[in-house]
Amino acid sequence: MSTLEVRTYGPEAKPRVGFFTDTSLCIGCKACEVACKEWNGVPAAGQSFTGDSYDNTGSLGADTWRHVAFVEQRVPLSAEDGHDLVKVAAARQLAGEADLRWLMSSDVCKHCTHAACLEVCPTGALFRTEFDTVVVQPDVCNGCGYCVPACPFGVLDRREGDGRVWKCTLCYDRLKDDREPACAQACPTNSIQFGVHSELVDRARERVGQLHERGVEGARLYLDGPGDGVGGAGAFFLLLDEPEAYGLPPDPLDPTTRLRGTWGAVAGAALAVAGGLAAAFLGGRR
Amino acid sequence: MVPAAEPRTYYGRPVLKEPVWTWEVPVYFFTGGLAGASAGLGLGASLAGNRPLARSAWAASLAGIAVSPALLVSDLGRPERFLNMLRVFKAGSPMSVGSWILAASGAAISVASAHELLGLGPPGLGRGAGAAAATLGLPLSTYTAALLTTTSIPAWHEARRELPLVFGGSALASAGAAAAITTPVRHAGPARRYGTAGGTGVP
Repeated sequence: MSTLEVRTYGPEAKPRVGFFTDTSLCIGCKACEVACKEWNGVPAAGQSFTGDSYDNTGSLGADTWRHVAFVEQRVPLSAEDGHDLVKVAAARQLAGEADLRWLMSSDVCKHCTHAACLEVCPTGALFRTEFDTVVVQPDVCNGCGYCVPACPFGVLDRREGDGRVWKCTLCYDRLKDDREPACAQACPTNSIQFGVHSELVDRARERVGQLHERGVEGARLYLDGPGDGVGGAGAFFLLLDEPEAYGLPPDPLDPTTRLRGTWGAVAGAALAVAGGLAAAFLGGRR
Repeated sequence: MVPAAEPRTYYGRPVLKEPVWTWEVPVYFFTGGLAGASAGLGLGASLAGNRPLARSAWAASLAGIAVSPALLVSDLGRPERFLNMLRVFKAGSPMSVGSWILAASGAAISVASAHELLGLGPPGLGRGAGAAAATLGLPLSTYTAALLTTTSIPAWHEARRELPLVFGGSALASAGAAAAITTPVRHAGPARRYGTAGGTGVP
């Protein structure tokens, strides 16, 4: 579907770009959050103390286009479980008696292949760019809010006091100038990698293979291929645990893929209403 | 035995965003359904020569269609941009389809009601508008189910097969009831049957 949309750009179409967020490299510095705010002029989301590890950002929203998640896990490590002695000793030394594992991940709009937000948008404010990314046009959006519950990842939200919906543009303005998005440029560990989507996917598959070889069995790719309910995503991830642990849906679905059947049910109901009307006038006199 | 599944979350936070729609939207589901189903009742009564019932039904339809756009516009984050709804037509967006149905219904119901209630306009136009309004009333009273169920909210999305019938039945019940209480009893037979058909159709 998206290739069709991009093809309408004709010679102006560009190769699909995206983010490969390798969470095994994330150190939780939040430089991506800061760079995004700075470049895109995103308003402050309010100061708060959540008490949830180092995460005081909370979640993605109208005023948060990058969100670094911090997951603290007690992972029992022992030589009896087959872990090697050096690893166990190192973990003990780092975390004391309780074996703490700290997962960090920078979340962002996924720029889905089948983007529900874009499909349901009644004004055309949400559109697919020549880079195969999904962007809201602030001069068109009238704040109807349909994309908010449509998104299977809870990315979009309406901005307080503004009334419109805002989200990551994958730095559309920078892309037009052949520059990488601000978050990717700011990332000091290359956890956020920007590039041509197909090259990123190849790189990610190689990386997950390397991690498996090194014994990181929990490493997995998320949204990297077309097999899931959103047809894969422009921004995909290498995770070290199940998606749920990071607040990501394990089985996301573009709800508009089932719209044909729903329109059928609507047509059936409309006929039933017509039947009720006929029954009212033809159904005898009392 | 399979151990019980333990749902995992990120600090108990929801994966999805809460809808930003406020009370205007569910009230519109009622007024839009009332307007759509009343148009059908109005056309039927006009054709059957039941003047008192026709007047009641067209009045209810006009009232419903008059407040519906106001409710929807006031729910927008940028109400002054409501016309952007008619900037494009997208069959893949129930709200886009609904905006066009609502706009066309508004025109048809207004012309039909002006003819039926006030005798304005040529009879041919009034009759044509009445037929158009009654036809458009069928999707008007049911498309809202597609609007709700084409979201990622599981409780809504999983109701996508049944909800259109529930909304259609509710619209019938509303229209029948509105006409029955505003029409003399001896003329209100079809309205009672109409409302009952809707009420019993709702599971």
